[in-house]
Amino acid sequence: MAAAAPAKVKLSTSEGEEFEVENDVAVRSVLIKNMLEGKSPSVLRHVGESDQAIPLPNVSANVLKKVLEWCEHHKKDPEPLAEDQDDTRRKTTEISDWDAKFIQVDQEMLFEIILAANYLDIKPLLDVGCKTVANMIKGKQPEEIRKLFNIVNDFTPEEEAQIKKENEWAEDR
Amino acid sequence: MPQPKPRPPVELAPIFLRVKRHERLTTLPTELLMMIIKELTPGCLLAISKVSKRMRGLVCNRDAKPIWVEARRRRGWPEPDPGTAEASFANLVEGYKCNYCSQEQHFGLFGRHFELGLALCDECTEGLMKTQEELEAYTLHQDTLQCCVPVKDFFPHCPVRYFLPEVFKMAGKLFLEQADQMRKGALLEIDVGTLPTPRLIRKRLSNIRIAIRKGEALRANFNGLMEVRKDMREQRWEYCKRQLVELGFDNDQDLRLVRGSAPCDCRHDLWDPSFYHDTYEEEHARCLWIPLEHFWLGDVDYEQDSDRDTTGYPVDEEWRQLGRAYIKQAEYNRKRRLAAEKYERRLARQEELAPLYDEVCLPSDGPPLPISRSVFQHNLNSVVRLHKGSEPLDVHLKDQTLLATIKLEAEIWIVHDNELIFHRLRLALYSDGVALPTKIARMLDQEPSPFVDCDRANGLAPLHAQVDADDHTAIAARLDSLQLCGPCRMLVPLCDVVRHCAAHDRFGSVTLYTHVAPIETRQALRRLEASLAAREDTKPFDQVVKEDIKFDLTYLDKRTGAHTTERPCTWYDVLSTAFMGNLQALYRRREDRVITKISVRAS
Repeated sequence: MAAAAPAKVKLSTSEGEEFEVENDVAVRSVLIKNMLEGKSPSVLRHVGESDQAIPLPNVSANVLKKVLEWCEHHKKDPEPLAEDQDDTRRKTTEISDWDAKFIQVDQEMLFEIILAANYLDIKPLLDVGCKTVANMIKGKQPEEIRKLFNIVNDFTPEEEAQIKKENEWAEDR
Repeated sequence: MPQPKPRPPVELAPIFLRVKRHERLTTLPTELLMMIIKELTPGCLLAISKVSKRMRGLVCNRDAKPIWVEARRRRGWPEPDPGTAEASFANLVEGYKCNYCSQEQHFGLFGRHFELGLALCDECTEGLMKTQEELEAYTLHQDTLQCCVPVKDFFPHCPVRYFLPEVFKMAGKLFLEQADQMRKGALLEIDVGTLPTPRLIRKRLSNIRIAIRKGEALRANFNGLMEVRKDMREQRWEYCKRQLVELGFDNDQDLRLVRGSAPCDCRHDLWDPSFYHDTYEEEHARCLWIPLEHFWLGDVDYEQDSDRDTTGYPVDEEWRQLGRAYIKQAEYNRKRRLAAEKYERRLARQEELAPLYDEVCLPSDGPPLPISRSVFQHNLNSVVRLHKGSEPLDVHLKDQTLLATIKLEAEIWIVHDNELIFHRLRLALYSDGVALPTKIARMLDQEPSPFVDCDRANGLAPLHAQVDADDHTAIAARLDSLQLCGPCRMLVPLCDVVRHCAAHDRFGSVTLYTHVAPIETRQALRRLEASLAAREDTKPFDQVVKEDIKFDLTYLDKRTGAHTTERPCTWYDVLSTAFMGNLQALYRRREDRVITKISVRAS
């Protein structure tokens, strides 16, 4: 049987900094929620019951702070049903104004938020991050995308020529 | 807000934090990248597939098709045609490059041709989309347009258009199929039993037979490729050449003979217009094709060389001569068969031939016409006849203002004297500016040059390598130099070049310069040619010209502005000096009277 969740939860970042947050904020993360409800691996089962912080070794302090800010704002959002999650996310094509303002960070932070949301299993936040990146890509040509994300063009000249010819009219097609 | 409690930092950050900054997107886990990719539009998917190898691997694989489908549906696009890949469809709808010239362009309402599956920039659309009427300027297979995709114009009242490269491709394919069909069932039957030769020689003859037959197939294919682009032809010819060398045609002379670039006796009697689809094919076939459809040996004009080697094999030169004798015999056989077939064909087509009504409008003095050239090769007697009239073509070559006169008068004289040359002139007139350089090169390559600094065997071929689609400078300079007599280097006008060379060298070869008429005139002349050719199918050519077809000539009197029509007269009458309205006389008085129309009527 799962233990009763405490009112506050301690979270420990990769640098060892500790954050004490309200329970309903922390449970926006499915990972933390499962830990608190005892669904997580046995080694972590006791963390919610004691005063010990939940270790989050893949999340740095500044990122966790940002993530918790999002969780704080969305703590009263209704949780989507598991079977409807994909459809709901798909239908929600636009980002809310608050989220849009929240996600206006530099690229480094953006990708770290995405990774943290993925690690903490916060699907709505992950969705916001992915849509933001997708919006950055939209309407850009390959060279512009490379420049935006500092991607190295690793095609050989032959491969590039082949790609260029892909949709051209060819006499033997 | 939560208050952090400071703790001493750990020595090493987790691995994901040590990833280089510039690689953040591409180093995201695959499932996260896929989540981002799923949010993209088809055009963005296309763009991201060209960013890096990893991105391409994610987007362009079989498992990624649902992503493309979902992206397309989100955009509300319809299903692409069966067989069209999602990526190709996305490129068509959201691509930003011309699919023909790769020029970047912002495509608006126009330019995306869904029937063709191509997005074409304004320049390509303007230059390569042709109406059926415009395509009449090209020599195409009769079924070409039926096999091409018509593209409807945005405005409903505009005619449908065709994509020119596709038209050429289809025409080449059809010509190729036709050429292949022409040799179907053309099994070689050599009655070697009639030859008093040893068994080994018969075996060798059998090899020759096979070689000739295979060579024939290659020639037929090559002939069919005439309409295809030059580089493809050359590649094909290289392939043909390798095959021919493997078959034993390892001598340069043989190779050139097969390709039609060397003079050969067996090509002298190949003039039989009714056999060919049109004059264009006829022209090429005459140069390239040695028909061997039905082949047996009669009395072969061949004397066996006694200088054989001791093993009983004939020496190489001997069997080559024998092979040529076979070809000559095949010519004879073919002509006999054709004569019978031609008679049957005439009967069958008589009912199909409707009365012929057509008009030929000759242009009045217009803007300068693009210059082009045509080469005429014939025997000395024809050359002499050509220049023996009461008013020979005594026009200096460089006198550009008189080139139009040369064209018309040459045509008149040629019709008088030589049907073959008339065909050639018409061929040049109907050629468009694109096809002409290749044609010139091919024809000149076959022309043994009577002039110095040219190897007669090679003709003018070395110069033609410099000729491309637009630049006629090199060939024009060379042709200008033809005014210099080969033996004595004397500067002479055109007609004297002919006479001079004939006197010095006993060789008759004339290079005549003419203009390419505007497209309307060429189309009108083409229709006239069609009329004459159709008539020719039922009656001999001269009979048609002299008796059957009547012409109405309409002139414009420049002084009074009045139109006068004279009728009816035969073509022969039109050309003869006895007729008061003959073309020569009219043309000489062109400052007063201009022919505005020649109406051709069935008798």
